[in-house]
Amino acid sequence: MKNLLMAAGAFALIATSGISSALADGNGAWIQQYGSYNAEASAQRGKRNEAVTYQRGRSNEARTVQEGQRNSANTTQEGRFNRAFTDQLGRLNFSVTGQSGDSNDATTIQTGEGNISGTGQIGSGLKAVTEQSGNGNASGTIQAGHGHQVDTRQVGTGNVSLTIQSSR
Amino acid sequence: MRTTIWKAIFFLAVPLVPLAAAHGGADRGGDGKAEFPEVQCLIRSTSIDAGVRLEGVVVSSGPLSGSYDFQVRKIGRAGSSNSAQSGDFGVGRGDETVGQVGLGLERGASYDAELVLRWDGGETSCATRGPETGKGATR
Repeated sequence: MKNLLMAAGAFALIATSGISSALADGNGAWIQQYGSYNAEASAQRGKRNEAVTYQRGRSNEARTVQEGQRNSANTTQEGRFNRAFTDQLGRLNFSVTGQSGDSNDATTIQTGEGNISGTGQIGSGLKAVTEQSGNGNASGTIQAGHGHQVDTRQVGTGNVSLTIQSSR
Repeated sequence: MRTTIWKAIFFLAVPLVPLAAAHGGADRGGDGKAEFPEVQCLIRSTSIDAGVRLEGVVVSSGPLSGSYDFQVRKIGRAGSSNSAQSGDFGVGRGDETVGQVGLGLERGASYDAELVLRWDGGETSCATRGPETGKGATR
């Protein structure tokens, strides 16, 4: 974290709305939003960037776009009707999305090799979509509740996906 | 159950071997007849804690390259899922796992899986479904 703060880049702690963009290595973007109908967008280009988004409320939308290597995206949403969208282009990127509440939607797109995507959702009527293009990608999706939908598409060789859905 | 699954895979897979051999291959022998590697499509099913691991496997008696589509669908009380893996493969003599899907199965859930292998001049496919008992793993 210290390195991220010291690095030239973007730092954001914004309530209700936030937009962050960075075009260098080692940036960190942290956005916290409380309430409803918040929109967040983070765009990072370079290596070892980190985007952390936390939204609490309903009908929020978090959008993270990262281009480069070894980037990390962490999105957490609590509430209903939230949407999380993560797009990572490059190698060895890591994305994790956690959603708690009903009718949430998480989409993760990763293009490159050796990417890892993790999605955890608790509630009802949840949807998780993961698309990975490249070799050696791994995707994991865990959903707890009812009426869920998981779509995982992987193009390449040596890809692995894990899906766990629990009605509890 | 595991033994039964393997038996089912065996009986499903054996008839595919001559079919696959008839469609596959790229080499030609000195007598002008085509010499095709025998290609076998296989979906390995392994029970794991509260679920199943499915592996799409290509088995070839000789060097072979092509493409694959591996699709696993699951439906159950907790929801439904669809995992689609595709891409290219290259195998020497032996077998290679082209896709791997882990699936949690709540009570009453079921799945079906299909693997399609394509190569220059040939194509074969295999499928499986489970769990065989019609009951999902207990969680």
